[in-house]
Amino acid sequence: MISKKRNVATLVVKVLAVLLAFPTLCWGGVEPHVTFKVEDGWIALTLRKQGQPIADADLRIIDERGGAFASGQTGVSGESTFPMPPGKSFLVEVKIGERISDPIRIYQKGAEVEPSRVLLSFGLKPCCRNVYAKQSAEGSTTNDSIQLDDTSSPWIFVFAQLLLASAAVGVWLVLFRHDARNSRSMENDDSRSDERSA
Amino acid sequence: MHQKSPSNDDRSEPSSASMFITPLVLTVIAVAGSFLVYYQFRANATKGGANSRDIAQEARDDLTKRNFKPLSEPMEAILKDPSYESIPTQSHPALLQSASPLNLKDTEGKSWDLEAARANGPVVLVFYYGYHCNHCVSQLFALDKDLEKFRELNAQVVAVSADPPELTLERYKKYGPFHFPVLSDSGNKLAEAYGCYTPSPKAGEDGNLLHGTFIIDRDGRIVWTNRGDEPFIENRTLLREIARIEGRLPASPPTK
Repeated sequence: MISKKRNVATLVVKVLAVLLAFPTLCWGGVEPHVTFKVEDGWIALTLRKQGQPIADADLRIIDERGGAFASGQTGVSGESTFPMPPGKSFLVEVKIGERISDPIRIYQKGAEVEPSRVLLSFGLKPCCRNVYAKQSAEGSTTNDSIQLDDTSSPWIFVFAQLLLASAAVGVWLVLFRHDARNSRSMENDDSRSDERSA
Repeated sequence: MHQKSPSNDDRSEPSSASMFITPLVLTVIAVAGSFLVYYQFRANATKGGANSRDIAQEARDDLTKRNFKPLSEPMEAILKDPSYESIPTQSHPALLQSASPLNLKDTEGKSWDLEAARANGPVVLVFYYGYHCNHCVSQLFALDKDLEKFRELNAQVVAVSADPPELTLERYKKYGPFHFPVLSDSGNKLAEAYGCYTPSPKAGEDGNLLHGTFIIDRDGRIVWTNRGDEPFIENRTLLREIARIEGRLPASPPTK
């Protein structure tokens, strides 16, 4: 009995968790974000996802000329520090597991850097509308509008109609001949009866 | 004496001309009919699923699904709320750089120029797929609901898609207008310049379009951006970012 109640409670908690997570998933907040802060000429980078630090993420800093400036990993608190690279801007690449983020360009602005917070992106996917268009072309059902296949040709309809017309003409000819034959046979019958009566 | 009826002669000896004319007439009628049927079918299909659907209702349902709620509290409360963490900008090659020039026609055929517009305040520029895609247009419904809040910060909202102005006007007649300019970007040229459209390498095939939201400051710089496969409906974040660049944010939002 107790375990049953516990199962129900677990289920309720799971459902609530999903419901709470849904809006977050919708606005893309599910991706990690990076915070940059300048401290004594060094840059402190913090990597977090939904408030939780991400440890052991690989970092690569590329200077303005495109050369590798620094590399390393985030610590347990999701933090890492590196000296300010020379030049007006530099690139930061973050690798979490097998996913490599799109490079982030950071600009020096006086004693600060901007942008100071960046939501990571990992190769942006196109609008799902494209996926729907492909699905509808493949015959799947879709919630979106169905694109007209512009390759469809009026000649298919013409061909179908021609077939129907040929069939109609064929029927007409058969009936016409049948009618003509009947007329001829009636004519013959008439002439025979004329001869008999004569 | 039995006499042959002349009508029997007419029936049994049809003219050879009618043998050719009748099939010919039937064929011509069939061909003409087939073209009519085809073009009627095509016209119905082009109007699309769009005419048989209520896109506005689908967009509103999409917003409900995404838990969107119009902002009802005063601006001060929106900007001060310490429990809310703004969504950071994404990286973008043009972030903190000058925005590409924008001069497109709105639904009334008037030119809308970014340079002229940003003199009055920041601009929220939204790229959406078009008014046939329910979840794409849902962002426009969300912005329209909070438009007064954006106006309170002197910000202007403008939406861009490849839809021709006539199509947008048609949708306005059916569902009501948006209260901000909706511009026509034929061929997605502007979307491409903002990194929201990648043409297909194969001729005649649709390219890839991303949902895109950009905040452009009075100096014409892109200061915040979000792109991806979903529309961005967190208007609170947009308002706070606008307030920040306008120096109206009371205190920097807490960062975790």
